[in-house]
Amino acid sequence: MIALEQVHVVRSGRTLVHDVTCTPAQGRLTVVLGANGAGKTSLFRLMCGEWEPTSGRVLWEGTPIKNHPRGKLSRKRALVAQHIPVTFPFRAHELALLGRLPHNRYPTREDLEIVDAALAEAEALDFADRRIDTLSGGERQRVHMARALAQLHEARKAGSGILLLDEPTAHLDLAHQQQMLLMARKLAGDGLAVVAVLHDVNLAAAHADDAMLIHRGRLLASGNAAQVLQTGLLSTALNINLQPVPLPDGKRIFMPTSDHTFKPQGVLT
Amino acid sequence: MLLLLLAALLIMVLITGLSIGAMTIPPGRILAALVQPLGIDLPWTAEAQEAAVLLQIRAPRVFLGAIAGAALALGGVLMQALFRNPLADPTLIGVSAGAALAAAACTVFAPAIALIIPLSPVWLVPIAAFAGGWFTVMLVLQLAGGYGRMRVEQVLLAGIALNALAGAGIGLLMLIANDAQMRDVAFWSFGNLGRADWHVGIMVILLSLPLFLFGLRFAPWLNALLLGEGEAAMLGIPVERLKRAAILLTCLAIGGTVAFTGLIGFVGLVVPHIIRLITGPDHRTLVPASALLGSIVLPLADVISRTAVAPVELPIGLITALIGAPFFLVLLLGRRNREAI
Repeated sequence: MIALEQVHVVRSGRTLVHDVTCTPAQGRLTVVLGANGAGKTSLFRLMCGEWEPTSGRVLWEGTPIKNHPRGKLSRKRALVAQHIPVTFPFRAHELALLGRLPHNRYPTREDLEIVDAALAEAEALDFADRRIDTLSGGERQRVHMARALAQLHEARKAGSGILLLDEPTAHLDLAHQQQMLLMARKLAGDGLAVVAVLHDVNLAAAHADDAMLIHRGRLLASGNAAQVLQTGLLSTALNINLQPVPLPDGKRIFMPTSDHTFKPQGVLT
Repeated sequence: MLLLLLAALLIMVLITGLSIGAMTIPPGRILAALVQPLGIDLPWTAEAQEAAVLLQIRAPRVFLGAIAGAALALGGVLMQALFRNPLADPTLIGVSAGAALAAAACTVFAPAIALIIPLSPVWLVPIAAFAGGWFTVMLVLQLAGGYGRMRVEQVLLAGIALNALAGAGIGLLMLIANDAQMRDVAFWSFGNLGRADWHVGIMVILLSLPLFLFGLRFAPWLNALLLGEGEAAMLGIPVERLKRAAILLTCLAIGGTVAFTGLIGFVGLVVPHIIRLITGPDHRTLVPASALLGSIVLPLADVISRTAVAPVELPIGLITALIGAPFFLVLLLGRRNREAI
């Protein structure tokens, strides 16, 4: 659906993305991992159409994304950003209803039903009538997830669309982190391409189908999560020495070694 | 429900505005004066003098007050949505001052301008006010870091600086102005509906109507804009076009209003806030309700400015502040108390 082909991004003389080619697959949860400043957000901005690549191409269904009408794209592509201003606080239900804007400027009865279902699925129905600024960070995140679910309702039914999640677990407690990623998996199971920026390598390892490791603006590795999330690659991507710790059930988690050294990371110049 | 209530209040305020003044005219006779020219007979009869006062002086003034109030309130709604900043109103960020400075400059240099641009001051002044307002918005945007990187404090600081600059400019113009021009410039500095006539009212409505229609039509898009430009774009909103149109139409409405009523602060800041405190930030309600409340507040303030210390007329901006500020504080206090429970 969305594809980046040999994409470079140079801004203010700094190379933020260097020769990245990737295609998040439909029906799979792809996690993007990398240290701070590695270029994860830049990739998201390219996928959102917020930035144009300096060179290379961003494609949507095989043709340049800029040739596709924004309105049409917004019915198949949704974003849950990390920071969303609450200067003018809507009620949670009103906010989730904005997800129907690409479909109908004024909501129909069906839109209201879709939004109620989305709020229920995101476990946000209990506080649907509360103002967003009175909710905790995690509750807000669930409301924004409900908005994205409402936005992609039809795309999900058709099994074709993309959901971009920028650090979706940032404000969530452990239980809701699990729930958020299980929901992301479920959406991928419905046929969406779900791309999530995560910082928790163990959450990523537990839930991801595919993984992309970004290091200094380059795509260090991408593909099946089980193959990509290896100790050496992760240590390089995250600038920290990691070691695998086996669990009794045969799975493993990654822990920083006690002798780790922090290697400051810059962008390419 | 709120809109109906505001509409009823508006009718009451308009009747009050028409009724009260140096000569008090009862509502029945107001109606009679308005419908007599149409050949409709009522149980009441308006005397010729009453009809003249109503139709030639009071009605245009009340009409202008209602339209200007709606335009100022809508300017506030649009600017606050655009800047995602509750403090952004056309007065605070310098749009009104920029418009007033341009209008004042146009008046003082009218003879010289007439040599270059062969247009009547009736047209030239609102065009200059529009251009002054537009230029100020663009300057604020640039000083605040441009679209997308706008910082709230930068917007306000830029607004404060531009207000001060415009104030200094108006002061300088007053130094070189002759008596008649100085009266005109003073008129813009303090706000006044005394120049109302039907032509002015119609011109202000023509300049403000596009903003109102825009606000109504694109209210859902303005809602999306409150989530941030990136999110709005992901919801399919053509953000740049929306912002450009909002700025253009706000400058047109505010420039036109300032050109004929002078600087009337406070309405654009407080009216949208009051409505938001009652209904929330949804522009589908906020736009019509703010327009209605704005068109209530300004004629009401004008009645007070005309009658409080008659025959002296107080600056209308002073009255809007005196009415609005305590009301706003009470609402804020009520909200704080509700949230504390």
